[in-house]
Amino acid sequence: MSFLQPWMLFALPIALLPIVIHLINQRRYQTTQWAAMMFLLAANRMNRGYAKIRQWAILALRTMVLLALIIAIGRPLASGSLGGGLIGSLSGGASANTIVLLDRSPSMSANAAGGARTKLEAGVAQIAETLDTLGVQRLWLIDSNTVLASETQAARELASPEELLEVPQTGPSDASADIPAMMLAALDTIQANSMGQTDVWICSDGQQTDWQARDGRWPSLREALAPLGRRVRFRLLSVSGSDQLNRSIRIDELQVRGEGDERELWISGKIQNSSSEEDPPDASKQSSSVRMDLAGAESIVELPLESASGEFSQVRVPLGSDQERGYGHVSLPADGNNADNTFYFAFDQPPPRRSVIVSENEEVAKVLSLAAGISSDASSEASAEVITTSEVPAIAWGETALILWQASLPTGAKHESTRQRLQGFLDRGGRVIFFPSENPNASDELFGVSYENWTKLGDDVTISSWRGENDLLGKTLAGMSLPVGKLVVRRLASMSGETTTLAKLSNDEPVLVRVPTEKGGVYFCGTTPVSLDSSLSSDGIVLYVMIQRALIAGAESLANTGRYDAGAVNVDAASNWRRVQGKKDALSTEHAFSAGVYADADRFNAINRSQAEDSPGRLSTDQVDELFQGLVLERVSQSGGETSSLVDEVWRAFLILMLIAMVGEAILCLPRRSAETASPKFGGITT
Amino acid sequence: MSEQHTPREFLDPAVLAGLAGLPLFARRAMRGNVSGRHTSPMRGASVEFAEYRKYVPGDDLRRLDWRAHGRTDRYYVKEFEADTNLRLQLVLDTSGSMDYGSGELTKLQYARRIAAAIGYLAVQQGDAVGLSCVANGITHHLPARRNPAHLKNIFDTLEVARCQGETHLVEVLHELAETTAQAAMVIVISDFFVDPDPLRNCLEHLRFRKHDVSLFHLLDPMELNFEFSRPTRFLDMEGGTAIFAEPSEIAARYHEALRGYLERVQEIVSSSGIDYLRVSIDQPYPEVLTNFLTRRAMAKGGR
Repeated sequence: MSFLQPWMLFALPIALLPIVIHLINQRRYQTTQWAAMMFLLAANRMNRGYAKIRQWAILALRTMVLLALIIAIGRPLASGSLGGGLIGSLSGGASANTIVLLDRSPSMSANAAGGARTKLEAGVAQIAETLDTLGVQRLWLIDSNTVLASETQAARELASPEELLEVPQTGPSDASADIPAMMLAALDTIQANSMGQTDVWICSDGQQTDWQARDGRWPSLREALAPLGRRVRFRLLSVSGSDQLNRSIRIDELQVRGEGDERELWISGKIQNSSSEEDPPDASKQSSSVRMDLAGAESIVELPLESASGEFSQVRVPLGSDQERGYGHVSLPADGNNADNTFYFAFDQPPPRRSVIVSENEEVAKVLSLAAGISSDASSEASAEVITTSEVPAIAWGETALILWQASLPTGAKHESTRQRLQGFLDRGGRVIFFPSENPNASDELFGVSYENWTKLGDDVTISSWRGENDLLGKTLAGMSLPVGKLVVRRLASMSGETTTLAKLSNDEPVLVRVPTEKGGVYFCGTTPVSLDSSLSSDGIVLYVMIQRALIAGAESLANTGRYDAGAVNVDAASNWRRVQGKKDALSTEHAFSAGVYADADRFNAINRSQAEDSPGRLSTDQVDELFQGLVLERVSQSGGETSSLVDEVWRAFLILMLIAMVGEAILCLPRRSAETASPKFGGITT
Repeated sequence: MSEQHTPREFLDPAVLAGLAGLPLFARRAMRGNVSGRHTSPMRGASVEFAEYRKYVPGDDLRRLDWRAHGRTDRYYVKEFEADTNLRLQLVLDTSGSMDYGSGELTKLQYARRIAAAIGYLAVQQGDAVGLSCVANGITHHLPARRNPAHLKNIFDTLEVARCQGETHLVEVLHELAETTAQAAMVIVISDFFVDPDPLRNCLEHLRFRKHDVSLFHLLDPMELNFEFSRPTRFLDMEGGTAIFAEPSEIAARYHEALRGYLERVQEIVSSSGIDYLRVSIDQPYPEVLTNFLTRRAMAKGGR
């Protein structure tokens, strides 16, 4: 049992007062000579049993009255979930500072177990109630959106726990949470405000996407927090979801095909069942009814599925003859989580897939030209132009989607303008893939990467590992892996610099890396497609897919539509967009985190939750323990959809106990009726 | 030079003077050896006619009733009741418990006053008075004598009597029943803190020996009401145990035990035809004595 006023426990010895008074009273007896001893002996003998019990019962009740009063003043808490125990009790339930880390990700919008509220609502309500009960001196809120939007001012100070229920920063969001970033923000807040004892409440459903358990920031966090010891206590409120059926819908590909009256919107995507429950048995499982909204015109579309949850591809939706571009959304009926039931899209005529190959090697240029010039989509035309470095200034930067650069890196003052154009191209959203030149110079560094001299490898060196979940080497829509492992690298120009490795050899040498940029992507390949260097051309699938993906991504920046993951767009820019579809009550400052269709001048931008949010994976208890290893963590489970406080003050029960004890004591102290009647009144002479 | 008299604190001349008009009557015939105001079992000269009986040789011819002879032609002797004095034996309990008194007087001091007054009255009307002080035995014994000078001995003995030891009242009363001359008047003044059953036996023994028994049962008001407010350590006045008690805790039980005891004593005396007075010693003793004497006088008149 914990106490809100634990210092009152020092007054517990006062409860012994009745016994002390009794003992003192015993010592204050009088002595008298007595003649009628025979009656006294008889009375004492008769009295011994009941009177002794009664006397001790009265003493016990008096002690209980004081005990209950002291405990009631100490404001006891009923729940042991806050890690009661003696130490917890003596140190009190409340800290001077409290920071609430709030996961607002779409998975938190699922219905809470046993209740009509969402997990987010239930969690926020419980934390507000609990903090209200425990009492806080200073309270900060760090929500998942604010952390993504601002790296410096992530914490917001609240006046009282009730404010948690009122501020919009505790509402649902469509952006994934970044728990390590939120933890870092909490650490920054603690250090910036020189906080003493601090409770850090984390309200989350433990979705793996949000927690990023393998992220490299966790060890750094533990290292930074460990010296604080018990000064910082983490309290993880794990909100559990209901067992209701939950399905999510996502559109992976959207194309406008045909012309005139035959214009159609081709949609590919998937419906996923992320709940533990199976779909109800249904004979018509091979399709699913989906409500489609095209710029306000609603219709029901039957999406053909292989099973109740699965992919649908190239579902055709007829468009008007003059409807070249537009927007809309598809939605599923209400279920366990309504946040993943809608997916917004915007469509336009496919932009030209124009590539520019800068190469000094004809063979390389030829292979790359073939891979870039043949469109993967029959409705889209692709073109590839081979130029030399001297022709770079003449590139039509505003029409190009992809640049394949196999030449010396444009470094030095001489190529300053080229670098600036490349930077602008990337900022617009274009893609660039660099290949090593014939004579790479280690001192030439571009975007933080430089090539070493060529190293000749054997004929049996293959790519041992690669990132298959996304990016250029990601799996196909059908979930098939690319045959990257079959590629043989015969010659390699090692790369150095801060990069993200997408593929590496068995000797850990990277073959394909990416330099993170804000919008576009810069890739560096350590070899070339010529047969002397690798089997990229002979096993051409990987090269083709790689280049086509980069081309499609680059082409999107040329289109009049944009598809973004919530939280991945610039907050300031998005706040100026006009909402066309989506939640009407969302704040303009949170456009970047709210799913919907937004108009930016003539361009339609569709924002949706990230693909990882549809994954049902949750962190296990062991994984959480591992993340907080060496830190003080108290796990609090929300169960049964409770929205009340996690702790209950039970002083009323002790006051009632005190009253009962007082009444009992009064009853025991009442003179016995038989004693009244048995008391003889003598006087006068009797015979 | 006149003899110096120390005033005896238990003698109040005003009280004795007030009681002078009340004679002490025995309830049954007394075998006195001198003439007195008490009925004798013997026939003798008196103004009270008793019966006629046939003349037998040897009878005094002066007692023949010639009128009866004239009517019946037979010889009858007219007999009259003989009056005699009584033998009064005062028995005073001087055990330790008699030393208790929550008011002005202890039970012994109260008992002294009663004994002295009754003894004085008896001697004044020509009766023989004796005194036995008893505790764990007979500590003082004065046989009954009618000599007025004997009264001084009685008073002296009363004055020197001190409370001591345990009560062996029952054994002593058995002894007195045997040793006291038959048909005496025995007045026992005690708190009777003894087991009622043996008490019944010894009282019946006294009755069997044709003694006229009267009991003065002296009790202190505190003993009757048991009104203590603080935890108290009670020390037995006759030695023995000490008891620590919270009076409020045991008062009810005490009263219950006391009530039971008194009811049994009452039942014993009722069945034995014994004159019994339960006296709370906060009452004025002249009132108690007046009540006693008046009741006996009425009993005598009713006979």
